[in-house]
Amino acid sequence: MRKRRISKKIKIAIGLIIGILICVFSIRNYNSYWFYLEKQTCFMMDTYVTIYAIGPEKITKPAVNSALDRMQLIDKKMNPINPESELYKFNAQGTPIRDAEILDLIRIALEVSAATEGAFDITAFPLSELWGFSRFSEEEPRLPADEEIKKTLKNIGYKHLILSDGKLEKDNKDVAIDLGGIAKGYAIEQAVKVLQSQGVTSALIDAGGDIYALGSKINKPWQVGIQAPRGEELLGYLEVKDLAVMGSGDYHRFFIKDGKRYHHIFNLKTGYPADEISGITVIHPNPVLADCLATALFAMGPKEGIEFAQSMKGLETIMITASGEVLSSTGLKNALKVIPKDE
Amino acid sequence: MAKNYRLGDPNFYKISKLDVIVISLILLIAVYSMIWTSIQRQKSQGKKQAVIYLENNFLDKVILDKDKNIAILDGRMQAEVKMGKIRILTSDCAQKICVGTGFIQYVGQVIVCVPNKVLIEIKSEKKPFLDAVVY
Repeated sequence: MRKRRISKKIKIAIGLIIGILICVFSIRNYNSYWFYLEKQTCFMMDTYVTIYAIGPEKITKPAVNSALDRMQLIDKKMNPINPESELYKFNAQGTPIRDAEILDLIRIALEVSAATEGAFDITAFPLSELWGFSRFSEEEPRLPADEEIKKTLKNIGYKHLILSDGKLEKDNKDVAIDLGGIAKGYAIEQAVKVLQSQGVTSALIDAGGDIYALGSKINKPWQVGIQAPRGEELLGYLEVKDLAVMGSGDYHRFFIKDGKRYHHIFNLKTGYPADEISGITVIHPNPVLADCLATALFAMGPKEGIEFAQSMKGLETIMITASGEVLSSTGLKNALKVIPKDE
Repeated sequence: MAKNYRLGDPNFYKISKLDVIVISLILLIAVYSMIWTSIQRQKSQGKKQAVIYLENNFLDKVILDKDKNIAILDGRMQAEVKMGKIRILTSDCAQKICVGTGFIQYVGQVIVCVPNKVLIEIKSEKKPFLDAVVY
């Protein structure tokens, strides 16, 4: 009698356990299929690029591959030291640029230059080269003489560029351009388009600390830390979705001489590094604009920079001034969250 | 003849000694598993590590629990581990952007030396709090 009772109970117990195991296994399978994380990293554009994409592997893997390929093509095309590139020929020989993709990007760059009164300028390339801050420089950065800076400034200014009739020309043979301040944003924008066209709805592109968050991370926004310009701590973190978050600062490319810090973002009126801000974060839905505005707002300084951000729809910024004060545009007040101590 | 108990039968719910032993065993295993998982998780949470890649290939892994100096690429780069953080002390590259990055400590933070194709990333078995860091 007992045997039968036990046997029946055991059968029910085994049935329940099998049921639970099937449920657990199904949930695990469901999660690993739909929430699979594809992560790939490449060196390009003078930094690393990592793309994270969440979704079925058969969708995310080829999509991330294609997105990185697209970014590498853009990097190659926009490289001014590649003798085959139109940019190289424009800088070295004055050959007009006719490539439609490059011209479209230059058109945006010129519009930003005009809107920021030259705070962002793709013709700053010779000044970066002079200081040794160019991303292509193989020498250590140095402090140039005043005369050298003044001489170089004569060849700088977006008004030296003439964009018309489907080509870009220049009015001075010594004018040279580098799209480094905007091409990364463009490459990110294109990568996002590739990912979306292949069905990816959740991804994060990290191009050397410049971020684009596509969609959300499963059911919550992506959490992006903001580096403090001095020290090792982070200022905090932001929760973002379908936004580009771009940073710039005097701590990337710099040297210190006689106690003074010299870095790679210039005030193009003086030819010396802009010194009112030490770090900036810019947020905008468009990564191309976010990229060039990070440089522009830094060069403009805190007062003008915040005013500009307030005047442009969708643009938000956090700035750390040279004295360590943290300023932010209205939309970001209270958005910066504290990172838990045990992280 | 043995009585055939059904689910609705009150006798079915009577607990025998064997039932008590089986239930106790299951509970014991469940509690032990929970404690063991929790201890393992705590252990792994404390172990942040810096993973060093050369041209996207794994090169080395450094547990950030003790202060030490590490030679990378036969000494062309020197890294320093201090108080659970890591930085590049010296590098033979021109721009020294990797040196200028300073210490990193949060999961997801990276130091990159593009000329040397070296990337150092902080990792942990614990789920990262941040998805990326803007700098």
